Amino acid sequence: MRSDNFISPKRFSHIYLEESAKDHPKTTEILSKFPNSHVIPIDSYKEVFNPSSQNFQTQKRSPKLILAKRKEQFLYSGSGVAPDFGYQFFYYNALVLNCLYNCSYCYLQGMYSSANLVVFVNNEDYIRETAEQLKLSKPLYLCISYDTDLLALENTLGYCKEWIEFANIHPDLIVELRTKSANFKSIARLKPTSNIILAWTLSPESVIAEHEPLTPRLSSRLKNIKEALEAGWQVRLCLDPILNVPKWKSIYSDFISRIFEQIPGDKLREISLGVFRMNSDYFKNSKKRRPDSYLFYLPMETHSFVKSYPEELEKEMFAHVEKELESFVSKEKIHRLVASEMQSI
Amino acid sequence: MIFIVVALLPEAKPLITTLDLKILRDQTSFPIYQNEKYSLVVSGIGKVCSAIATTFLLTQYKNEDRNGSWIFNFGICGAPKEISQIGESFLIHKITDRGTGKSGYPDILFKSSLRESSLLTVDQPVFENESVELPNTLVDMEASGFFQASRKFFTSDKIRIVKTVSDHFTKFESITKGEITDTISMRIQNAIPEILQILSIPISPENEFELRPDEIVSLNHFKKTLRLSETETIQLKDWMIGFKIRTGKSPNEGKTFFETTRVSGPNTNPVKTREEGKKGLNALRQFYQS
Repeated sequence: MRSDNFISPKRFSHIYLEESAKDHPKTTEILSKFPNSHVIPIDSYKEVFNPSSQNFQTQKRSPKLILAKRKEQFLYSGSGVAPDFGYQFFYYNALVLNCLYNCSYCYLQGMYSSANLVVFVNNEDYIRETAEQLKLSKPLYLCISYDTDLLALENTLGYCKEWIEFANIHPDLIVELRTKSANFKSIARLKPTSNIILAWTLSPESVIAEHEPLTPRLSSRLKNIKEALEAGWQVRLCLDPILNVPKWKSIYSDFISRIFEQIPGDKLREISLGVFRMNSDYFKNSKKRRPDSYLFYLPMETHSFVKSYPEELEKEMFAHVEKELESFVSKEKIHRLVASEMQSI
Repeated sequence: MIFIVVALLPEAKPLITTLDLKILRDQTSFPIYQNEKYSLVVSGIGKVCSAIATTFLLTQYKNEDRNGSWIFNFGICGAPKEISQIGESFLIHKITDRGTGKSGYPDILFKSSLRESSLLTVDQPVFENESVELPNTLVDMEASGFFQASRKFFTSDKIRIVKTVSDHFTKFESITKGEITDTISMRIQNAIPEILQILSIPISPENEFELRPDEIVSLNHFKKTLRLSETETIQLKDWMIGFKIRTGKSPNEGKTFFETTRVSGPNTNPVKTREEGKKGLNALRQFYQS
């Protein structure tokens, strides 16, 4: 039961401000949007974010914002559990740690001890480092919304706009902006850029209701996708993770029909498929932090430190979903991410 | 149980009276006052005493059900004139230990009408002429020790600190010890509404899905009848909890299934071979996971 005393999740009642970030213009911009928040000075974001004696799920009721400056590691090589779509130079970055949403299957709850959001305010350093890497690695495929949902935070941070503008002048950079948000309007006025991929993660409505609390409804996401396609943006659909929910076959069949009632399949760049999978350490932590979710009690197999459904079930799920999708999109546009072929990070 | 740590008896007295706490008759290292809902310990002055008393209290009641429990520290502090008038109470969101330079952060996930502040814990009392060297904040002598010890037992959302300003770093040279004691009690007495406000805010309950005692009986029945190893028993327990979460039904239903389909015959004798046990375990896995 939720107590009325708990602060609303999106308000950021407290903002921890790292000494090194306090004079940054992005800090000033962000703080101006939260005039009623308590601003608490800190030496390093790690002293708030890293301690193990935090309750991830309780903090999700009222997450705090931590503003910090990233000093190093502005690019990471792509994780083995995420799709590289055939690009040799596959990178991701971490502009923000953690997400506004609270999906029950999310690996972040197993990866971090805190549910608070760390925002690195020095985006210009990330952009500079990417420009340097681009001189060595072309084309460079970069996921910028990996351990967070940047589009959901766009009204606060404005990072999507900065990256879209950067990608506009660097055609060899392919940027994936993954989201579950319905916040396309925040970038709708920008010029559609062919090397920016807006990648929407979609789930059946019943899965959203049960396992993706705080995320927008399917209908809102579909409306956004339609608008983005009509405006000429590159859109990828991510049906990922496909979950072993009761009656999953009929639920995913109905879901796919519903998507293509609104979305023209031929306009999509591609569709990415993946069944539930997670690094086995994160799985163990997540199970502890989500004792109310049956997803962590379903039959699983472990391959190379990745937990996923038994191979037979995974194959069956892919085959079923692909068959349904092929009525609406060409086979070449469908990409499978097979758990048993992955390497954990 | 709500655990409370206070440095001095004059600070504790107004709350002991308000909550009608009774002193424990056992001779313990630190005086403990309690009723069925609260346990209050008087630690003595300083961060070391506060840390020891906190650890003592929480170890003493380590068998208490910790779901719903949390810990609270309140007491007097000094403050510069510019940031507070005497008698004002603050909810603390940052504690810095002046000795180590390290800071701790209680998670404030609830709304309250109290002003919030950071707090500096010092090893020696600070007076007017020295206070200029300190950051412009509240100053006490216990909170960092209390917080550090509490964090070994509770997550930071279950640790709360309220401090009431008793002075502006004034040295009370002309008044007696009794008068000082009375002044401290009076400050806290006046702050009782704020203290009670924070005490009355429940912590966020945790969802815990465990087997009920009657379901544990079923688990033990399976274990004995199928001659399961410890690892197999842990696996089975996991499937039973998963079944309970997924279906909302009691895993005792597996017992009926087990009795009607038992591989070793319709009796309660243990299976004769490990193979029979594994077969039975597999049947239960299918029941609980299908």
